Amino acid sequence: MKKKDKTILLVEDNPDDAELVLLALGKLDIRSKVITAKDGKEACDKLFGPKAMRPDLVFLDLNLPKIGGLEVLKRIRNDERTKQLHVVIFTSSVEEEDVIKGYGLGVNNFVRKPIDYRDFATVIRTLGIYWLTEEAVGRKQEAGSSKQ
Amino acid sequence: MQNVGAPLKWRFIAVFMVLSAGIIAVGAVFYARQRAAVEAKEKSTVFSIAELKRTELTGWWKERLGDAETIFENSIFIHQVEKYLTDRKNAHLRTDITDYLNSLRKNYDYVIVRLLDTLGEPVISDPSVAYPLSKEAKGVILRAVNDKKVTVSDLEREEKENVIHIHIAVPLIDRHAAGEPVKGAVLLAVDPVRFLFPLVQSWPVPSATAETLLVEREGDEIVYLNELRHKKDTALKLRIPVTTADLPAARAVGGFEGVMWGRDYRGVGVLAAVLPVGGTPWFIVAKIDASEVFAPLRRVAAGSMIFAVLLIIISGMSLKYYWQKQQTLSEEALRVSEERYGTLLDISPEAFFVNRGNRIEYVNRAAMKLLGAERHDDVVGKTPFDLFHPDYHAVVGERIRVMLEQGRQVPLIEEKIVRLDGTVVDVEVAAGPFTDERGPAIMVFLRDITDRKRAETELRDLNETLEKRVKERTVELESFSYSVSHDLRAPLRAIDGFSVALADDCLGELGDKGKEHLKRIRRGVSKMGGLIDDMLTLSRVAMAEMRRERIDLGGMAEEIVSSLKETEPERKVEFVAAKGLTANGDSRLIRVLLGNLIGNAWKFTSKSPNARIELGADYIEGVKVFFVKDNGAGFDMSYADKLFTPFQRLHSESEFGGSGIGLASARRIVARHGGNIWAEASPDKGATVYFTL
Repeated sequence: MKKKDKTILLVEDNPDDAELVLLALGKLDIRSKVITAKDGKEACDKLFGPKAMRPDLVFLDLNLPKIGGLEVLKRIRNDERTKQLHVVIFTSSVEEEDVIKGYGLGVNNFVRKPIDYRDFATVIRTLGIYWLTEEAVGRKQEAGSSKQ
Repeated sequence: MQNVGAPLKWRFIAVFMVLSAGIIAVGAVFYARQRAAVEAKEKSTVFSIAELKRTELTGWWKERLGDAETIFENSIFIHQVEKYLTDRKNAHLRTDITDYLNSLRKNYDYVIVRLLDTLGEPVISDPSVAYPLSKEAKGVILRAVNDKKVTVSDLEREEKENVIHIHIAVPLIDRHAAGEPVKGAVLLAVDPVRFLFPLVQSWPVPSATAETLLVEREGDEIVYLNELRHKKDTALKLRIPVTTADLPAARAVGGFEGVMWGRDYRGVGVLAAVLPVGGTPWFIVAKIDASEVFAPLRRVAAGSMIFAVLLIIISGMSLKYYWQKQQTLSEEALRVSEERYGTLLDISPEAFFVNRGNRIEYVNRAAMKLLGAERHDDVVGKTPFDLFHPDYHAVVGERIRVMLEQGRQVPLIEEKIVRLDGTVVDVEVAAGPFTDERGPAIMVFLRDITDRKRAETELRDLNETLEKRVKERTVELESFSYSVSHDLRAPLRAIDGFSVALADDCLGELGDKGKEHLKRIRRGVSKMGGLIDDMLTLSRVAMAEMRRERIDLGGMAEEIVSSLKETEPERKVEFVAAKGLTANGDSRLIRVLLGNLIGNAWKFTSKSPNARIELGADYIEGVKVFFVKDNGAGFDMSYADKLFTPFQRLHSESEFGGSGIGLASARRIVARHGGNIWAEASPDKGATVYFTL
């Protein structure tokens, strides 16, 4: 199996959090490239604008300026081009409402950012492995069929 | 005012009728008693007269028979007769006998006295008469001669002479020589008209219609023997069948003795006393016309009738007078009270009007003011529907109907009226039916509730405002706590993350001491994170909307325990939950509560080898109490009051971790469910936390 470079879109407004995610992903054995968007608008530009990217995984924060995380998710799921993207909501606080909305909009995972960095890193790595390895292809198809 | 007296009038009339009836009754009774008295007296009189007559008759007969016996026993006379009859030429004897007969006739008042020979032929007569003996006379003589006894004939009418005689035949025999034939006979003729009839017919007291009469039965006829008062030429001629009903004479011959009411030979109603004359075939009837009997009564009757009528008139008049007096009195009283109350009602502060026949008949000042009317006429005459707002017309109509048909008050309700100037006013309406001399009507009280309605609206608005504000605040708080927790966490994450990064990337430069510092930094971060979570939980617990439902506590506890076990799989903890533990509460909050209590139990049994956590329920004084019990470290009861205070810890951090906020949350949750929470424990023996929901 050829290991392709994977692209990850990290939508995060907090630079510290972004840095921590990058550090954690750096420890991943998978070669990946991380593109950051610091707000919802930038995220949408990157996904829908000219030179739209097709990331293999999207880490999506909810508390984003300009366009909020759930709105971005909605747009992703409503657009034919991006419908099938793997999206993980990675957010500070887990309000039940948001969880429900998130899953309702078709997010793949809804994860709370742990304060403890060890846990933080573990979560990132687990998610990364889960969605970026070749097995993900099969999962992609699964996900596709289960998406409504 | 006319009809006020109506029922009373009838009462007076009733009294009058009763009184009149009473007077009449008394009068009637009086009259009846008088009548009865008169009747009784007359009966007694009549009977006495009959008895008297009878006695007289019987006496008379006795005398006659006595006369006859005297002759019969007169031996001297008999011898003389015997001698004469053999020697008719003896003038001397003849003269003697004639003298004797004459004396008999004169002194004993006979009409004719005859001496007869043995063949029954008259030999000597006094007075000397020409006519021969009648058949009847002869018959009597024969019988007397045969029987050798004094024999009497009945009253006989001697047709040829048109006279009535009774004959007494005395056979002349030698009594000492009984076997010898009769020597002769004497025939005495009595003229009843001379003595007998007058005796019978006389009435001891003057009377207009009374008479006594003598009757005897001949076959099926009654023969009237004497001359009657009311009919001429009846002696021995008037005959009436014995079967005539009510005829006293008929009843007499039938055997009746006594007094009776009947109809006499004229058919006139009479009171008759009827008696048989012993020793004769005769019956005596003493009678008096009924009209005469009751004649005196007529006067009494007239008198008492006049008296009664007078009494009735007097009572009628006095009743009328009394009644009229009553009328005027009650009219007075009514007028006074009307004035008094009329005025009161008119000036009463409560608006009031009277609806009669769907017309406003009366309206008081307060009502006029309420309606904005200056004059009575502005309102009087209108219909209630003119006063009430059209929205309420149906209701008003219905209420009127109910009041008039069922005669009961209707409940107090709110309606709207329309003033004369068109403005609408909120009112409270009380109404009820009543009836007076003019018929049924409805009284209505109105109360202006504009102020009250305004106050109600304000209150409602205020409530709404408050509710809205509370909601806003809650939302604010929620977003506040949301953002707080979110915003606080981010820096913590950064601190922790970069500490780790520092440790990983700069391991060599840091050295052991540096690593130790970082560890402490991380520990601090972790603690803070926990605190933030706890605070968030607590605030959520305090503010979140509660929704009660049935919760399976056992199941929930099992989940909590299993997730705890997942985090520390090496620990051996026995968990026992009583079966069928259910409660009514908010599912999320209860989960937090159980999580806290079981989590505490889990924590404080971490140092116990045979950790046991139990969830159960008891009934204490009839109340269901849940408990979470552990056999862990327990605590000193003297610090129990600090137990549920936020951030208060009863063990040092090194012994058992924890922020000290768990039980405060638990208490908050229990309080929101309206329950109580308390704990009992002893050091090293374990603790039990009780709670009710």
